[in-house]
Amino acid sequence: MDLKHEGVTFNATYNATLTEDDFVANGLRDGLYSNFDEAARIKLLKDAYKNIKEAVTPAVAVPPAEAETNTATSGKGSKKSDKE
Amino acid sequence: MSGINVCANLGGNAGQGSCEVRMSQPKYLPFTRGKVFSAADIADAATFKAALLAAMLLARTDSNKVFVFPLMRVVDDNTADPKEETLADGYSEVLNESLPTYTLQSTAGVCQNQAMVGFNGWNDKVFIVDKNNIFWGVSDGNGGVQGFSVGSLYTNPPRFGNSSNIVTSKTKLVFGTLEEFKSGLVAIKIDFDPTKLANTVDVVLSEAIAATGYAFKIAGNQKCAGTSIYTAFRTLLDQTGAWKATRLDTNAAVTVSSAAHDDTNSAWTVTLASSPTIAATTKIKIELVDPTALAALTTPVKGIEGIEVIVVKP
Repeated sequence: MDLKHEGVTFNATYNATLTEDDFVANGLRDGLYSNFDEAARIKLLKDAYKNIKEAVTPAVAVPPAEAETNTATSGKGSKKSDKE
Repeated sequence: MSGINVCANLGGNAGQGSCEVRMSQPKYLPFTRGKVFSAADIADAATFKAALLAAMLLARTDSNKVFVFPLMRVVDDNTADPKEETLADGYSEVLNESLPTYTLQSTAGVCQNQAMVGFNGWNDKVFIVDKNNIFWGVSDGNGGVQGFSVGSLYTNPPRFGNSSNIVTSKTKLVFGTLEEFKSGLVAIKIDFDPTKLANTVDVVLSEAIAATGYAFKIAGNQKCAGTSIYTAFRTLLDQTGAWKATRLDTNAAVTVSSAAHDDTNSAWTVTLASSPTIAATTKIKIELVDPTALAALTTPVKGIEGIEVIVVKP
């Protein structure tokens, strides 16, 4: 799956397997975001990495709310049908 | 003792069937090495259209790819008369039948003409789409349709015209056998122009500037015209799935880590995975995925087939 960040399309599936340090180091080595100064490049790469991890991390399943239980108290419950 | 009765298999009823169709002049020539459309492919018009498009989008090296020549505007039937021999008493007999032979003229541009010249010597198969939009082929015996055998194919290279005639490209097609016309013809009515289904041109990839680390700057130009495809495909080829890389030393695939358009160099920055490590001087083939895969991307890419570039890891 692809993830686009500030003009660069990352292979999110592959890059998510890297550590942040390796991802940033690779980006600097390969000249990504070379139009920016180093500090900005590092921030862009770190932001990209964060987005990549979020994109490939499966959402945590939310357990269903517990069902309400019917209490059998007097005066409550369904009406009885009138008998003729 | 009775002899063999040839009458059982000689001749047949010659009445008009319930669904007759006549062949008219060829309009389009879809060539293929070995594509056979199955019975399921030709079950209905929409399914056949999809099957033909899929075949046209295959890589040029795929034997099932279908290549469609441009519109043929003028068609001459150059089929020779059968050879006859006449005896002194007037008795005559046809000795040799002649293979169907046609000269077809198109008004293709130089690049398209040169592409057609690249098919000279073809002796695989051809389907015919005639001027009544009937797609013709030969039964494969299983309810499907295959192309007619080609005996020879020749298209003249581009040339200058004169003041008396319109310049055309002439394609001479000689069918490989007459037998395919004697039985088992398949005719499919179509309602589309096959040349409009897929208009694919070859694109030559090259390195725009020197690589940095695992990042390669790849440019693309139309093979004949030389026109850069950068403007037209600038963001389309930003998709990592559009590219593939292969090490030449091990034939191992290399993952494409990222892709980005580079306006400064009118090229795409294709960055490869650095794990596993690739040693310096390793040769790597970088190419576009085939047209079928390009068309299946999240943002479909249509109209190009790339010719790979060999790069060297710095």
